[in-house]
Amino acid sequence: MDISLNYEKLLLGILQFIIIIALAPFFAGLIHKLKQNFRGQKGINMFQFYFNFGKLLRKGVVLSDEASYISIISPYIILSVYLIVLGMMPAFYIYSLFSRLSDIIVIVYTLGAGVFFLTLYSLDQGSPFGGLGGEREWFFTMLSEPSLIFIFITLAIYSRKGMLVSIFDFIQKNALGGHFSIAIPFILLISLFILGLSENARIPIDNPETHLELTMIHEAIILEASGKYLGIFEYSSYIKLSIFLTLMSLIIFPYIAYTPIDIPLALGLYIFKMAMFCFMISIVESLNPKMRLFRAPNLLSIAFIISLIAMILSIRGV
Amino acid sequence: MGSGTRDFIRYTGIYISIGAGLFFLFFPFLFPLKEFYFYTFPFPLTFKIDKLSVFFIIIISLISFFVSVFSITYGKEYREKPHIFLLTPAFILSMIFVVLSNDIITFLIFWELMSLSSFFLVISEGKPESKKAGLLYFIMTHIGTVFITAGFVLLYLKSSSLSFGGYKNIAGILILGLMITGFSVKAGLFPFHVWLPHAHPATPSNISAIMSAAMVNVAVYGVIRVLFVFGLKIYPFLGIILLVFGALSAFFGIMNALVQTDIKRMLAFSTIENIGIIYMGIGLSFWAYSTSHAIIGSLAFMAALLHILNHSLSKSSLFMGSGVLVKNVRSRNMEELGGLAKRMGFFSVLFLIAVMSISAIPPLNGFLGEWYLYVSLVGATQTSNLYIIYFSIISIALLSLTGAIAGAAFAKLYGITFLGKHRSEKARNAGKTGIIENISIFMPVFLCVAIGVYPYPLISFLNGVSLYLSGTKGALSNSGHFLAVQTFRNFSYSSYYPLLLISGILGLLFIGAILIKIFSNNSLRRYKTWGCGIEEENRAAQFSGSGFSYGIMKVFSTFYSRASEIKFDSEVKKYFRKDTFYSEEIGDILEKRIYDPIKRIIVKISGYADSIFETGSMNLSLLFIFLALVLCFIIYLFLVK
Repeated sequence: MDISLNYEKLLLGILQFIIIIALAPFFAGLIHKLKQNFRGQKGINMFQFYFNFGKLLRKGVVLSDEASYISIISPYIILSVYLIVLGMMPAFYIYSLFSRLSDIIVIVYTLGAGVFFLTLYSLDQGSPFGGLGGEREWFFTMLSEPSLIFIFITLAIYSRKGMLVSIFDFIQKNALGGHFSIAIPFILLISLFILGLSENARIPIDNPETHLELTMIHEAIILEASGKYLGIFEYSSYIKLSIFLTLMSLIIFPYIAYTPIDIPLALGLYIFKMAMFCFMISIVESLNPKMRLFRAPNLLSIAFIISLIAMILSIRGV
Repeated sequence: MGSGTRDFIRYTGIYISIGAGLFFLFFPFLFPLKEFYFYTFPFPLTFKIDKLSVFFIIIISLISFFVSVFSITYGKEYREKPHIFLLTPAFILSMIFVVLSNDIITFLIFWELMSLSSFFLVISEGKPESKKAGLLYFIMTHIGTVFITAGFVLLYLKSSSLSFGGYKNIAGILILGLMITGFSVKAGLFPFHVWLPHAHPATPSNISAIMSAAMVNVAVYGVIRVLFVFGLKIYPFLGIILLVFGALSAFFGIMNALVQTDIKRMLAFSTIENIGIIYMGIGLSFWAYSTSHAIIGSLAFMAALLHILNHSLSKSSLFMGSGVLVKNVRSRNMEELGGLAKRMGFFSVLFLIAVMSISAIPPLNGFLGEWYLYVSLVGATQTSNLYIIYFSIISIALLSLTGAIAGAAFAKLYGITFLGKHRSEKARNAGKTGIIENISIFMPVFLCVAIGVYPYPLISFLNGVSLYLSGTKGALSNSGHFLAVQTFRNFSYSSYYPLLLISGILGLLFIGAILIKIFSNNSLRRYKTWGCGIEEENRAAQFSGSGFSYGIMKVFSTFYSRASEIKFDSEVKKYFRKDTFYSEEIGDILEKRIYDPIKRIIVKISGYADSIFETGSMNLSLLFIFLALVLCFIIYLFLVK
């Protein structure tokens, strides 16, 4: 696949980037809304998380006495790291803004950089809760990172491409031509769904709604954050959720526009697919209780085994 | 000896080391690809510079230069022991001459000099634990030397030449096996790593920086020389064995590094991990050349070479950093540090970059080698060889696990050491870092960033090394508008654009920061960290180093031998105890389960032998010597010939 850029592609890439950034809080809000509806609550406005973000930006920051420079830089670093990964996703237009960077290993390790700074942030204020969250964050990252790499490498082996953009280009073209076994994306989807739950602090693993030190992971990390820093952390978590949902939507049913004319349909389908995955996540979150911490490795090892099986199935020799 | 003399000796030694480092840094450029002969009495000493040795000389002399500059002020810690600084140049020069040497005798002489000088440096602190570590190091090193010497003897018998020039592509599996085992002991590969975690904490920090970042590479140099120059490239399974042991070593090393609270011990285990990654590259590359998959071979070889350099740079700066901590805080224990980022601003930033580099955070150099390794492993799964497919899948799994745990281990190292509240009075009263220390750590850290962001000149140089050893082209091409680290054109798998990545991240960072600055309330207030509403100031309430690795340790409990103990006054009721002591000991499981039993057996056998042979009669002793000679002769006649 040719990934050389011209002005049209660049412009559309930037447009796609801005649209998916802008949509990120909407999907998080949608999951929340659907969950509340399942519980029989009236629920929040679907766009509530935009208002929250705006309100947090308007608030002043209270920084801990113990905080060093890490507390000041890491929110921005985490945001830009997740943004660059989101910019690599060919969500509905194939020439994504950072399509050149979308090497699979780069994606996984860049996400790792986000976790790295998140945990440094958690230790920076000398709070007993922060370290607790940081420890658990690494605990789950360590268990889920091999599966994530396996998912990407399965796709790479199957399509013989190493760039995410070319992989989905391959899947889309060959899915239409009927040359692509549909089994592998389905198997990968299960694994990716479990990882999506664990990486984005969703219910069987973590519960973002509670502030009880026994259960919280992601909330414990950002417990000391306030004002705009809290806003940035929240937005980063929406972007991370968007990254995983976009990956899922691309793996199972890629419909990516190659020309500007196709973009409206592709965008519509993208939002529809994302909404469907939000619906699935909200069902899972409503029907399941939060797992005990040391039960979670079982779930994550299932994800690992599934992606291993997919990888073995995708190997086909020379 | 007066203190003036001691200072004079110390400074002389340091300046000799700096001079040697600088001289040999430029030496390969002054005399490119030359041979040297020095006719000394029994044997001539011969040296040769080729592309492989140039690479290793540059690494060793760079690291020696950095560390020697660091020693100018750090050396004051060892004012009473000036012999350390006289041994250091000997150690550095013997490492360089090992890499340069071009025949068996020269190689073994300088190898032994290197081992002995480093042994004396290990025991130089004179504490009981450093003596114990020194003894272990001495024994392990000499076991390695025995294997290497045996390999060289067999090479000599096969080619009847002492010079390395006569050994091109003749070594069979026996020779390769013996020599690689020998070098692996020195490199600290997985089953032979036991000496490393003992030797590094016992050694002065500047010496452990040289040992971990340079000496270990000399052993890797030996492996590469033996495999790719001397070896016959017809043993694919040998490559697979190296790949698997490398993966095990990486996994085992980082699993142990994660749970350590002693900074230098943790860094020693991290050395084992990185050596494992280097061995993975070497093993995969040897497999690929043996089965004529030249592209995968050169990619994996590139991964190994890059990782050698990257590990040296980041590990030397981390060990120098640990030296700074020992000097200023008087503690290597993470649980006694904390809050140093506010007291040592610039130094803590340098340490952060080194930590990020070694845990392979993308725009930095540590990621580059791992990227090449992943690419070559994925390439190996696309071949038609069933064994390499199995083992490369296992290796990918272990490598990704290693990468994640490395992130956790180094986030713990940095977070517990530099962030949060001070964990002891020592940390509260930490001194400031000196300017020379900062400069000497800045140099390797700067190289880490530079290589990570702009690796192209380095990669084209390493392509030359790869071309020299295997005759196949390496892995670089500049295509289009952006510079990319790319795999081949005819193997157009993927490419990595470090310059674009860093500019993308920084661009988004600035745009985001500016937008947020404009649209947000910029008032900032400092207040206490929330402590559940309790007013009491309790620094012990924050998260501890051993707590940070507890979850992973519990899941992987089979990999650790852990013993913890809680001591308290049992007379007093539960909630009124004044003092409770918690102590925890996490040992190396291999040491406990394998090395300790072997040690006991050897001691037992030696006891029996002692009671049998220790007769006090001279005749009997002479008889035993004679019998041993006859035995050697029989071995020579029947086995070797």
